[in-house]
Amino acid sequence: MKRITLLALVAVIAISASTSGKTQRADACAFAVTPTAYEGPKDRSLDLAAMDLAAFNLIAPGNTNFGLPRLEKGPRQVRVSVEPVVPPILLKSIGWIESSIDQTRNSPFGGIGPALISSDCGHGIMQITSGMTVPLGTGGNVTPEQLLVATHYAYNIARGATMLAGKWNDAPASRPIAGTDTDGDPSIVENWYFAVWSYNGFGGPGANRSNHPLDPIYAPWPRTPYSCGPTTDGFGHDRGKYPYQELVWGCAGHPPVVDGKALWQPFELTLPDLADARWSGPLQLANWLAPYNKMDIPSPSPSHKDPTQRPSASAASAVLGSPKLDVYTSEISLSPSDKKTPASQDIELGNDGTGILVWGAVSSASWLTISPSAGVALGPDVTCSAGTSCVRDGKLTLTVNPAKIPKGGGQATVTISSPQTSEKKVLSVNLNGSTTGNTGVPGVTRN
Amino acid sequence: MVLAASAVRIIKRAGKVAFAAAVIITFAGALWTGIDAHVRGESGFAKAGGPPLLVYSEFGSDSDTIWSARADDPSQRTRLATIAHAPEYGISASLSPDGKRIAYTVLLPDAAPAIDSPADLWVMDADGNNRKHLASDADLPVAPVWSSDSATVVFRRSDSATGRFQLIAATMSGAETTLYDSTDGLLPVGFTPAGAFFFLRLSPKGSDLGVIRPDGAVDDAFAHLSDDFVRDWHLSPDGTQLSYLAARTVGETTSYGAEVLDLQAAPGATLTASAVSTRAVDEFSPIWRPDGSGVTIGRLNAQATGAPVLQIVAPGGPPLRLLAAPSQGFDVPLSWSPDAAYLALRSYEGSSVTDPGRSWVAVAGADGTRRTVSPSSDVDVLGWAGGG
Repeated sequence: MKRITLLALVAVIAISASTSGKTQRADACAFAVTPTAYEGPKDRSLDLAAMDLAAFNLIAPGNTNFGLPRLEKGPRQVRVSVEPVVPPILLKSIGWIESSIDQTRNSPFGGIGPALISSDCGHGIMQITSGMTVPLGTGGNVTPEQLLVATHYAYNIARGATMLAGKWNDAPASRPIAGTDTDGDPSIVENWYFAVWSYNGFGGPGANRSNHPLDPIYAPWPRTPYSCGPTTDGFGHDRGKYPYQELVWGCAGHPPVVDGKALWQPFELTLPDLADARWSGPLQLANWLAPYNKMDIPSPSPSHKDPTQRPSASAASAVLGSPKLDVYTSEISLSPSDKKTPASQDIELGNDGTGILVWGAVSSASWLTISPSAGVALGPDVTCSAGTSCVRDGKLTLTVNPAKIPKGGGQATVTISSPQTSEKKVLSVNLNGSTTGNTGVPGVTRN
Repeated sequence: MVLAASAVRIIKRAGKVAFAAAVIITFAGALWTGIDAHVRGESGFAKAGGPPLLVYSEFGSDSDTIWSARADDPSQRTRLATIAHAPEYGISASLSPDGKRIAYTVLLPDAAPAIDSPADLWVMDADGNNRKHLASDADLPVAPVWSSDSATVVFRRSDSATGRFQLIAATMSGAETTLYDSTDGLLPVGFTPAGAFFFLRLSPKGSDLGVIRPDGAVDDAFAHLSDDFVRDWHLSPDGTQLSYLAARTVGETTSYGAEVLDLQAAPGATLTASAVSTRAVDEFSPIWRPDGSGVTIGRLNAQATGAPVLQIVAPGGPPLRLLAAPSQGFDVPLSWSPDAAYLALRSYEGSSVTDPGRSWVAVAGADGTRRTVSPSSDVDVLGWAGGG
């Protein structure tokens, strides 16, 4: 028996003090400055099409980061691998739960704007966090994969699909199997129950991300099914009251409505029957111990298969396009007016091909900064919303910090590259010797 | 009273209904005048002599609204406060025992919309005025729990990096006191009028009840409630009993049954929980009558034929029906008005825990009529004002 006098226990903590390590600020994520990204049309038609492609492994097959791994199925002791297909409905529902299927933050639909990066470093539509918390490239720069995840909706979705497939394959080593009676068949959507649960987190009892369907942190009981539909549809809408997988299941069956139209056909999925010992037994509290090998369950019944047809290869080509990097200048000069006032210059770049071009820029000198250092440029085939200024070009600003200029001036380069095409353009930046002269050349614009 | 941890295992007495006093409910009109010690005080918005007012929060995508509504006509409602929050993540609120304040956890609009984003703890007058920030880094889904004197609230803080949970008491000035800290999942249960604070501890070993007594003595193994999850706990108004739901499996069927635990066993005695019923049917939300004379539960129809009904429980005799069966589905009780003249409930369209269907909150009167509170399903009943 512990005896604790409350006053002795007291740890009066200032209101502003934080003992939690739960959050990270966005500026501690992979990008020092938020890159730009493309936001598709409001009806999410491009995003949904990309989800179908990603589900069938047609975005970047064979790529470690954006291609699906082969999926394991079968009994716990005898797993075999099969061709990878993720049920498309899960990507759609997860995408809505994670971001309302938005790749940018507060940008007009059909245009370029700041990429969506949440305070926990979740990036884009699928809110990819893993591998996105710090720059992973050489010299403190981001990698091509990080660029694609943050800026291109199709690659972001593909990365999400890859991660979900990875969660599937975590079974049986570190996750339970759903579908013990159906050979763990990944074509049965309900068999993704634990993979979807894991996509958000497999926390312990009582944790915010416990996601255990019986955990009392999720109230009330019984839970009215979750819905992504209108708030007066009689279902639940407060996401804080549901395990993650129930959000995804509910959103599949009660899809979001945009401008009076559901984003997808309602797809009713079945949750484990918690009144049946075949499911409630494995899910009992005593079994909630890593590696969760006592939590295997049969397929929730009735089970379903996603009827989405495999898209054609040409559909992938249409989404990805054939971008081509074009930087509209190869040399600029900058002259800070004095030793304290930075001098800046905007640089524009374009996409002479099709689709969405992803670019990243790296400076060779510490006195020359780039903002943003990554973004997109749109080809002429990409939808640009009517009614908004349709800017297809990418733009970055070079800034000279006079305080860091070496004696006698200096020269630097800015390397602009595209991870999709492996193109690389080098821009020379000349620093005029005098730091008291006029600010450099006029803005560089497209001829 | 200090109990040894080894002496607090619960023995479930299957096939026998005990704690008659805990579960006796009658529906005689004269007995609908119980007094709820937890919702007694007059608040600024409750008019003396009028019908009791149901206080509830209603979820909205970007902001929640707190309303008071007449029990006899919930369409007559008054907006008390609007609380902006991060998209799709509503507040978790509770009304103070004196009915004068509302405490709530909230993800502010610019916070990352995720269940584990650090939330803020706020308090305001029940009429929505005088909002005050009390604490940061609170856990959103855990509603704050008030002390009986309405002077402090207990909230939960957790750290996913270390896996630790803290139950923290905050005064109305924002001073914090850590009451208990553990790697086990912690959830606040409630305060007794005498000042003891009960909490739940979740681990793979099961659900354990802990207590911090008014003198500061901590017993983190006061009672082992179940080897599995428990939920929907409610302290009796006098703080001497705890009702809750515990899982029980009979054959291939698992159900949640209501149980009642006497918290006042003699020192050294084994604490014993009694099942309100021994039938293997799902029971819901065992809430206490305002005078503490017993619990009211929702229950699915045992024969699975006909419409399930909300029932009140009288041991030793047939269940007494409180309400006519809904046209379809089943009812779950939420909260009695202080005068026991009205019962807030949630009515489900579906037929089972697995398929509960749509639901709405309604207020039922003594004559059996029920009136829907809101067209939205996303309603949390916080308590009552007036009607005491």
